[in-house]
Amino acid sequence: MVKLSQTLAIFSLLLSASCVGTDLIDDPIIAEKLTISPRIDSLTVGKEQVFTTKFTNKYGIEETPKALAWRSSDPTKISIDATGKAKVLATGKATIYASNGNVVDSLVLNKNSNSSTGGSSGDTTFLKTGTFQAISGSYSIKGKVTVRTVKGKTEIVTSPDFAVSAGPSLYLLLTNNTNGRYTVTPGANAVNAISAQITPNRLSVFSGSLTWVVPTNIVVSDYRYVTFYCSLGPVFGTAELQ
Amino acid sequence: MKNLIKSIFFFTILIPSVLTAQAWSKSKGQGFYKLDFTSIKATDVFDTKGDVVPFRTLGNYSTSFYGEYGLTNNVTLVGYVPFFVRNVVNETKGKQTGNIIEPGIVNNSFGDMDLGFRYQLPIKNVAVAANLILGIPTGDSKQADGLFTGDGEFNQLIKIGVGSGGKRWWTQGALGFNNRTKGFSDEFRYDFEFGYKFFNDRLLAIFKINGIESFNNGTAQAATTGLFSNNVEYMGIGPEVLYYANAKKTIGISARIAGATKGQNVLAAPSMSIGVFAEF
Repeated sequence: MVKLSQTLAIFSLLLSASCVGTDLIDDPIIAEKLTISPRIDSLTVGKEQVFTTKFTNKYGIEETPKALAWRSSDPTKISIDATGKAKVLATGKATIYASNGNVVDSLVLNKNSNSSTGGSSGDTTFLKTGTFQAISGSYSIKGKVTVRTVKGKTEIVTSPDFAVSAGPSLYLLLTNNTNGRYTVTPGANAVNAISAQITPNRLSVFSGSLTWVVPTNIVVSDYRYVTFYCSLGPVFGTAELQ
Repeated sequence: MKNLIKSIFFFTILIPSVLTAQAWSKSKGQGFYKLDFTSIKATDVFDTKGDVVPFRTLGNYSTSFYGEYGLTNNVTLVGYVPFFVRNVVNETKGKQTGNIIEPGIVNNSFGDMDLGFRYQLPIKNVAVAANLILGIPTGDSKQADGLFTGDGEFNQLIKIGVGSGGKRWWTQGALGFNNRTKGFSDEFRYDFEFGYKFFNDRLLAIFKINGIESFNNGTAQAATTGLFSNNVEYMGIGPEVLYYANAKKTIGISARIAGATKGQNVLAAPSMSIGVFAEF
């Protein structure tokens, strides 16, 4: 005779096997990155500015640079010491460089222009585009994407001929690789060195000219791809930003 | 061979392994009741084109009640109540860093119920019954990650079952049409089983085939239908055994494993069920 207690015990055992498991995977590897901060573009003569750096390793984890070095392209105009303290000695353009081994970032100062290299452009209007490509044969995607900054807001805009397979849990991300394994938090904008979640909620429209405003805490230039990712696993398509 | 013997699961409700002979109605006042637990854990899916592709590890665990009760000698009340459905997507963690890369996803909820009737047609020499099953959208069709436990639509399944048997064996088959609403695709459903009784009829061994062919005529997009609830197709094959635990043959236990030779929009991994049942 099968007793109720035995039945419940069996069902409890089975239910306990339904806990959330952990799948171990190789961490996604991205390029090491060094970023000079603050991202300013001008300094007046006689003024000093201390620059700092942020270094992220191949796993996207921030760590202290082991061999940080500073230099100026024109020390007669702008000098910089080993601690990152710069001083403007004369008018004119100079570029400061920070390096950690082979990883280098640079910042152009006093170019009489608001452009810079190697990091965020702040309020600068800039333009990047990419063409979407499918990752697997299971899902389709077509069209182009443009990233632009207009009036201080950075936007991601798809072309009128854009279309992606409808997914039950599809999100728009900026990413540094195309192999999936991105962090998505429903209702939020999860950001790390691998990916940045642009859309807090899963998409409900999958074609046409669509516009998303990039949250201010996400630096577009930190990422290489615009990616449509299903948080249940598959990458539907990506566009490499050029 | 990867496509072969992959079992299936889908989040919409077809009367699953708990289903008993559809070609025969219960006698008036007689009933069959079953508490069932079905689980599947998959790392692959059959995609929308029927190819097996990798997926995040996804588990579905459904605890349900199934019952049949003879209202008359010709009319049987049928009900399927998945009262606890648990969908789990594993978290992924980096080997090198130990960081959580993809957070786990869990959805615990009621599933979609099925309620209906079976009517025994007055045909001699062979058992023929018409089944009307109504799919009630009692499950969760709003979960943020699309990991639904129900489809959110009201469907109507009409199925004709034909059966025959001897002292120790029986066989039956059924064909049905499932009309789905809210832009979901309609379905053609079929099943076949052959059963044999051992050990003074206390052990029943059943070989089952069942499947769905979608008409793929729906307009609903995956964002609203959720994962694996629309345009589902498969042909499943699997054995089931039922063992009566007492001499009166009023209570017993059951076990089933299911596999599929093809699939579309379904998980691809072995599914297993166990249950306890009562018949009186």
